Amino acid sequence: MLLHIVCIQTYTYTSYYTRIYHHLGKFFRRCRDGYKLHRYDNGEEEDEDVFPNLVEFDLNRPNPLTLRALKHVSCTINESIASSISGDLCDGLILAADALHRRTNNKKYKRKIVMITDAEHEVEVNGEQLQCVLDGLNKMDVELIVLGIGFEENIMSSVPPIQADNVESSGGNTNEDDNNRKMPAAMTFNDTSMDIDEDDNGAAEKPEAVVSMNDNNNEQGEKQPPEPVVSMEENDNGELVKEEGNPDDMKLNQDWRQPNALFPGSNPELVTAFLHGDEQSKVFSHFNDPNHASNWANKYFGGSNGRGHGDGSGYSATAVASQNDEGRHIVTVTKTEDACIKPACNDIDSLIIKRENEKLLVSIARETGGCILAANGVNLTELLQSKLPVKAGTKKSAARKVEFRLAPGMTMEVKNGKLTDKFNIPTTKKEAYQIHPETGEKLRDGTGELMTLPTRTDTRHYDSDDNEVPIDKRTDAYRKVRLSIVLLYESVCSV
Amino acid sequence: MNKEAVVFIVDANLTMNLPYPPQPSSSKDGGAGESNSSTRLSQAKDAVLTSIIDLMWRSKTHEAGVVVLKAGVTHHHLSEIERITDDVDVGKRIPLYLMFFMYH
Repeated sequence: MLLHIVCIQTYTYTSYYTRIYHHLGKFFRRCRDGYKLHRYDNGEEEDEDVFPNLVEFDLNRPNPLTLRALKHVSCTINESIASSISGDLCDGLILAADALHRRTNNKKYKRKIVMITDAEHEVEVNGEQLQCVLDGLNKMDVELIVLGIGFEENIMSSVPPIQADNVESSGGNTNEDDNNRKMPAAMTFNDTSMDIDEDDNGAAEKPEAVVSMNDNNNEQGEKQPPEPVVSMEENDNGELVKEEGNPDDMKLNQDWRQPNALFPGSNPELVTAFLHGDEQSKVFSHFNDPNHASNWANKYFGGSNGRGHGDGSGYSATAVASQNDEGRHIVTVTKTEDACIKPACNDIDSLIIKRENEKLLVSIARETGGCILAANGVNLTELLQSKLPVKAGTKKSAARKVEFRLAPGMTMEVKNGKLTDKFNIPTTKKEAYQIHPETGEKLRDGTGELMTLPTRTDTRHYDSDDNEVPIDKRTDAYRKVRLSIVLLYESVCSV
Repeated sequence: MNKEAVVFIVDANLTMNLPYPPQPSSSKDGGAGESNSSTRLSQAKDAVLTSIIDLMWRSKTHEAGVVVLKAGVTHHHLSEIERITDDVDVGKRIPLYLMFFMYH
């Protein structure tokens, strides 16, 4: 009976550990004092691959094979399957951090992660994982450098830093841990089972800005409405206030240009120029009387009682006739969005995704002490070299153009070059030529090189009577003379 | 000198196939026959290759790794193939617990 129970218990524990063996997420299992992440412990994702659609070239001393393989990296996905492809930048960051941890943990290394991305794909962010990775990165002193293609200039200064004290709690408990652990400023929690109110020693603070990303569990092709966004904005008093809303409701910068506008009425040059331009509204005052203004507004902007709307001939605007303070009759024309240049819906989505990803990367870079390098047309290699150490072999002064930031939003292009360097002057080596006693020519050896002899310096001292002072009397000689009449002779021995 | 370990993350998303530097809108319609083969991905690869070569040149002890995002295949140290052989520490615990129940 006892043996039977032992067998059952053995089977139970063996199967339990086999399950853990298969499910245990391995990344950074030792980075938080033994705290382990059980990402795959719900049993449903048993067959799911860990971080799919990521390819890694092992962290090692680079060799030509790696370089050759990297040269052949190309985009293999097409539009039809693009939405179903995983392997976003967050997964890549976790994988890179884990690779660094595996390879360089407890070793003396200078660690960096360089990410080159346009951030135009949806990112599934698991807050707990990301926080764990951030802790690990900070622990290992890993600097994250993001080379963002098409990123906003000076985005590091435009996104406000995290100020956890100002975050107001909504819907969850905000722990105030001694460790003052912060979530990155932008992340989302797609795992409903995950509680922000964490374990005893790992209390995490609430995120300040939540990036809404589609859940990976959504059905393919079904577009889920984005999650509400909670972001921190600075009010007039300089305090951070929380703003919530749907990303779809967030207006992008509207382009008010109406390039196809053709205005048939009076003053066509000014009105057409206004309609083609980026101004939203403009006041026109070329009217003689109120009827003229009202008729002009009605006729060309199609409304009644001085209120009109564009007739659709390439422009769309409303017009209001009125009288200003000076008594002049004016018509205020305000463009409407119908005829304006509008980005396509997909473009809007990608812009929102990109903007939120930028915020996320800024937050991570700020947490790790890294930086964002915005690439808008500049050569990526040169941009990356401006941050990474200078190229090998350029120890001498070689002026390079760099962007010198005087203040946020104020930059100037300067040349950066090394002007001075430590230089050790070699000591002069004195040698005596051997001269032929008869011809007086310098002697040369069989190989044609000049024949030289080493030299030595001999110093002699004389007193006032021109008597040479021996070495053991030199001190007395100086005392007697009391003048620094010392004749110094250097003789170079020559043959 | 400290050794350096740099991991490059290269995005291979579909949008990385767009030309870089971005062409002005006027030249798109121009059809002047200029084929700009430089894309975001090619520029990114060039930047990474240059950095890795420079890293190699500065010291042979420096190390570099590359992670490619949005790839068509999966191959990394956390993937399924390596999962079997990687959890050695977990696997070692099973005999200890077996021994525990054997003795009780």
